[in-house]
Parts: sequence; structure tokens; C-alpha cells
Amino acid sequence: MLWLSIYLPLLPLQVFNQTNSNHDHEQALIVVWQHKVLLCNPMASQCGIEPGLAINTARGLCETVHIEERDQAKERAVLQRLAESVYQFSSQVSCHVNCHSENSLLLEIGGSLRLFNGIEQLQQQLSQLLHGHPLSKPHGFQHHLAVASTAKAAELLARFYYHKGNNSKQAVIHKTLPSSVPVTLLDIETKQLKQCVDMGITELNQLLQLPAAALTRRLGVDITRHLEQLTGRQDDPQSIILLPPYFEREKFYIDGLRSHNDLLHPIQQLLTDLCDYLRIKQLRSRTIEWTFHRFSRQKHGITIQCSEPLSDFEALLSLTTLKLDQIPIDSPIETVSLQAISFEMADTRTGDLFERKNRAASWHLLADKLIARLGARALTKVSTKNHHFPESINRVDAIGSERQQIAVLAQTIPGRPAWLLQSPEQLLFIDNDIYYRSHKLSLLKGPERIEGNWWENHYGDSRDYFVAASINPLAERRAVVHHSQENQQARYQAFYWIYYDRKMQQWYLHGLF
Amino acid sequence: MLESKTKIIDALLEHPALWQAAQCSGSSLTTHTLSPAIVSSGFKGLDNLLSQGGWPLGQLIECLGPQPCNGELDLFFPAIRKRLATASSAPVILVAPPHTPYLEGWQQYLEASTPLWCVSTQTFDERLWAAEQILSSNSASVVILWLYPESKKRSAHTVKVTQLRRLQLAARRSDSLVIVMRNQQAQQQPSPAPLRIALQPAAAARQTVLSVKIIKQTGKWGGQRINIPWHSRLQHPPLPIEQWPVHRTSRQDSTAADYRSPVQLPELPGATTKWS
Repeated sequence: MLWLSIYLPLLPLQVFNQTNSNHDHEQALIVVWQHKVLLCNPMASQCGIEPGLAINTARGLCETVHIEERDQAKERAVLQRLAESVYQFSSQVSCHVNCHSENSLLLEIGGSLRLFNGIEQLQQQLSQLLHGHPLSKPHGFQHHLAVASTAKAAELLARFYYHKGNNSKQAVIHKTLPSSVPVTLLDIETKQLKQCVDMGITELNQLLQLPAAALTRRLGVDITRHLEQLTGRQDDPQSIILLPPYFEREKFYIDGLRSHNDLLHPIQQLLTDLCDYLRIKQLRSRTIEWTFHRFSRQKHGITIQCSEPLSDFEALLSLTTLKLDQIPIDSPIETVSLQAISFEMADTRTGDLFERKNRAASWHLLADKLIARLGARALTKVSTKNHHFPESINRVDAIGSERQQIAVLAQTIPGRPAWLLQSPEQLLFIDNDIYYRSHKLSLLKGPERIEGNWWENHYGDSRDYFVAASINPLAERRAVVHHSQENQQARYQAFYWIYYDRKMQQWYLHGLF
Repeated sequence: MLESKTKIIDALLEHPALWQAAQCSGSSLTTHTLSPAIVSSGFKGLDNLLSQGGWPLGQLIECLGPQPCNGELDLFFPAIRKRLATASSAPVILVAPPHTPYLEGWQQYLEASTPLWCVSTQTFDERLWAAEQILSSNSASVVILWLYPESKKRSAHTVKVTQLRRLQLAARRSDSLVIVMRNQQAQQQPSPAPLRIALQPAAAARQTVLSVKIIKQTGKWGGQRINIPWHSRLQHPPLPIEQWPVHRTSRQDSTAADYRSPVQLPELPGATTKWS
């Protein structure tokens, strides 16, 4: 076992940075806890405020200082979020809040070293993630790393080197504890710590040299157990975080968002979270749902339906932005929330390095884009089913819904048109001539009878189909005048597939070539 | 110094918007000669007229006709078939087709399993947007876009040259067969499409033909005309009523003559046509 501890000394301050991003960055901010200043931001330090001062003193030093009460619930929430994002480095991550209410994350990295190619690589990537973490912009989370063979030792070392003023970015790796760790840093109750100090024990080394039985008798069993876990002589089970079974997250804006551009920012953040969640759980999602709550208490939802499950940030973002225009912004938007409930397992097989990019993936994305902008009915797939009546042969399915097998037509009859009218258009029949929109038609081929469906429409339908052509009247006149072959060429204007309905005694146009 | 200059020139030569005379087929003077991707049109005479020996892929092919659905698909069916044979299962995408494609007609030329997608749009801009998305995703084997004006009014929306240029640039990023169907009135307007043809069904020498005129092409003069035989099997006289082919869904063992409807077929106008 090899444990890495991430100590986050400024977390109580940084949780306010996150939510008050609208505030002026220049404003001095202090976090108070137990009537004293716990932490202060650089602006406040410039005014002379430092941790440990009374609130009134701080206010005296700087009139405009913004004071926040420490919010441990919020810290826990942020710590949980951070734990989820560092879950990519280890399968065993636990959030640790010690007796002094300091926050750390503990990762078992013994199993991850080979994957990340050594501890330096891992630590580099981890630092990169924490520095650029979207939860604390623009500087990321200040953190200190330490690696040790037990969880408690790693946690202690990270704090020890922080208090010692070691600001190096490298993780401190120790197989054994340094002798000079002060007892006051130990993760045990303040009362027992005071007893130790009263006994004249100031360093951890001195405490470890004492016989365990005597120590238990004087200071209680907790302290010996702690020391044994610290040195690895006793097991130290950690409460490993578990990810929720579905994804639901929201962003609240007290001032409201007033334009589509403003909406992009929370959308990107929430999608980043979703993609992290999906990557960690090795899942993909077919449906995601956005909900926008407005000041006027109305809510608007957008559902992004993908034909293939996705876990790709860019794809999901482009699908969302295409649908964003549907959100009316006459009243500012207060809350943006994202929900994903149903998932499918991600395909974790590795592809061929030299294989061409899978075309299938790009169709699905294309189909989703087209549907998102043009509507669900805009994109259809045309296939066939076995039938005699032309209007029944075509099967038009929405892209997402095609599941049926494609029927191969039992027979294809040559001379059928390429286009079919949605509904047959009635033709004029005057003096034994058929007219389509004032064009006279002459029959070229036929007839071909299609009948059946006797169970419908009183003995069904019976139609005689013909191929007809319209004649360009100008060209015909010219041809008659000049008797020339050249003009003859432009005689036909268009070809039609028409039928005579024997029951209705009417001519109809049904197809075009 | 010289190196940096050649770099600039190389970058210019690779720019997709620059067309070099040396790139056309038949000249092998320069090392920059690219072998253009083409698909044979399926008609030998037409292939000979086209400068690259077939329809170019990844380029706009503008097909102008008097009205939509006028035999233009019959001209392209052989090429679509050949294109599908190489592009495995990538779909054929029709953007804003004027009517529903009738698959029985298509299946004379294409496999039944051909994935055929239709994109229906409300506005002209949506058509162009959809076409651009399809082209830039390069996921279709064949893209056919109809850009006929919606109404016959003069003020009807027509496509602008800049919009077509955008499409052409998107097309260059793909390897699809890209066909744009437009009204023949657009012949008067300039177009960035490298290949423009006009198409008209006609009758010549007792045969129905598709009269194809190449308006413009890269690497060769335009203006050539060719007639492609079309619907030669339409030239049959109508059959007597006893021999009419009957397709019925019922299992009734009836002939056309003992149809139970009281309606009698009128004298067909087709019967008066003289056939030679």
C-alpha cells in the first residue's frame, strides 16, 4: 500500500471564491471560525489582517472587508467533488477531515504507479488537475502532496511540510517519518495533545519511544491506536467514496443569466462534470436533460437525444448549443441543471492505431446535429417493405427508431419512377386528352395494372399505370415549322408516372422520373 | 532565407482554394500533380468529355435542369452505384428532395440495403446549413442537394455565390459525390462549382434521351453536348387489355376482365397514339 495525501489548506477560503465569482476580485475576504479569523485572501493580508485575529480587529484594520462564516457543509461538498475528479488516478479515494477540521484527500496509489508511469508523472498530472480545476478559478486549489506507506502518515506529512513552509511543488516521499514532527500536528483530540505537551513530549519521536501499555494507561486507547496506524502496525480502513448511480447537478446564479452567451459558461462546466463522471464510471449516455429555471418561476427543459450513446464533451456541447435557441430569455435564468439517468456501458476495446476513423461514429453525430437543429422529423431513413401498392412500398422511419429489418422487394419491375408524390394529384381529362398543369400528356408506355386490397374501400383499388410525357408546346410548334431534327430534341419536357383509377374513373399523377 | 520562401510557396500550393493548371489530367510536368478522386459516370461517352474521366469526388457538381425530378437521377444512378461499392455502408443523403424517393425505382439501380437518408428542411438557409454539416462531417458517400427556388417569383430566394463557395469549401474536405440540383436559370449566374452541367430530357432519332451539356469544367473547355439514351424501354405500344400485367395483393384468381367493379374502362386516349 502506498498512500498519497492531498492537503488543501485554503479550502475554507476557496469555497467562497467559487460561489462569489461575481464579486470583485479586489475585495478583501476573510473566513471566520470560532470568532477568529481562520483564513484571509491576499487583499486582506495587505491590510494587515492575519489568521488568528479577532473579527473586530480585522474590521478595524479594513473597513470594507467581506466576512464569511466558515461553511463546513460546503467544504465537504467541494471535497467530495474533488474526490470524484481525482478518482481517475486511483480506485480508492477517501475524503478526510481531521480533528482540527482540516481537509485532505487520501489516494491509494500503489496500484496506479504502473499505469501513470511512476510517481512523478502521476503527481504532475494531479497538480495540473488541481491547479486548473474549474471549481476554483482562476488559480485552482492550493495543495500539498505527500506520499507514505500509511494513510495517516501521508496525511500528517502533507500538513507537516506545509507548516514547515515547504512550498515545493514536488510530493514529499517518505518511507519513515521524520523525527522532528511536532506532536501538536497529530490527528488526535486537542485535550490529549495538551496532556502530551504537559508531559514534556513535544515531538512525535519521543511519543513513539514510550511503551504502548503505559501510554494507553495515561492517555487512553485512542492515542496508541492512532500511533500504531500511523506506523503501519495496525490496519487503517478508510471510507472509500462511491459515485452516485446517476448524474444530477445544478448551478445557481443569484443575479440571473440574461443571454444565450451567458448560458454557455454553466453549460460547459456542467458538461465537463458529466464527462468526468462518465469517464470515471466508464459509461456513456444516450439522453441528457437540461432544465433552466427562470425568475418568473417558469422552467424550460431541453432533452438531447443521441442516436448513439456519447461521452464526448465536444459532441454533447455542440448538440446542446444547437438547441439553445429554443430557450426564451425574456426573464433571467436563475438555475441551470443537468441530469443524466440512463447509461450504457462504454466500449473500452482499443482500436487499431492505423485504422481509419470510424465512419459510423461520425454519422451518428451528424444525425444528432441535424435532428437537434431541424427537429426530430426532419431526418428520415427510407427503406422498403413488400407490397404491391406504390404508396405502401416505402417505409419512412425516423433515424433513431429504425429497428426493423429491411425487406428486399420480391420483384422489382423495371420502368418505375424515382420519385413518388405524397398523395396522387388529380389530372384533367378533356376530350380524350390528359393534362397536367396545362401540359398535355401523351402516353408512352403501359398499361400495367395494380389491384388488390379487396378488404378495403369496397372491393379495393384497381389502377392502370402508364408512363406519360409532356410535350414542350413551343418546341413542337417549331418542329412542325422547320421539320428539323435539332428542334425535335427538345420535344419532351418531363416524364410522369400516371394512373387511371378504374373505380373513380379519374386520372392521377403518382410518380416522377 | 531560400528555405523559408519555399515553405511559403509550399503552403500556398497546398491551399485548397488555389487551383493550378498543372493539376489537370494529361499534364505530368510538375510534382504537385494530384491524382484527383473520381467516380466513373457509367457512360463512356460522357467520361471522355469530362476532363478527369468521370465525376470528381469532393467537388460540387452543379446540375441545372428545367424542373426538379426530370431524369437527373438516371444520369447519376450508375455513378452512385459505383460510389457505394467503394464507400461501404456510408449513407446516401438527400437534402430537401422535392418528393419522396420511390425505392422500387431506386432498387433497379441500387442495392436494397443502401442506406438512404432524407433531410427535410423549412427554409433555404437550413438546407445550406444541413448540406454544409453533412459535407464537413464527411460521413456520406453521396450528397444530393436541391436548390430550386421555392416559388417562381423573381424575388424568390436564390442561393448566393458566397453560400455556394462555402459549400464548395466544405465539399473539398469530404470524399463524397456531391451533386447540387439547380434551376437552369442559374446558368446565367457565376458559380464556384468546378463542374456545371445542364440536363434536359429530349427525343432524338425516335429515342428518348437525356441531353447533357457541359457548361464549365476545370482543365478543359466547356460547351460539349452528349445525348445519353434514356428510357428506351418506354417505346412499347400499349398492350391489349387481356395481356395487361396485373399485380394484386388478393389471392382471388381473377383476370382483369372479370373485375367485379361495375365500372367499365373508357376508351383509352393512349390507344389513339400512333406507334411506329
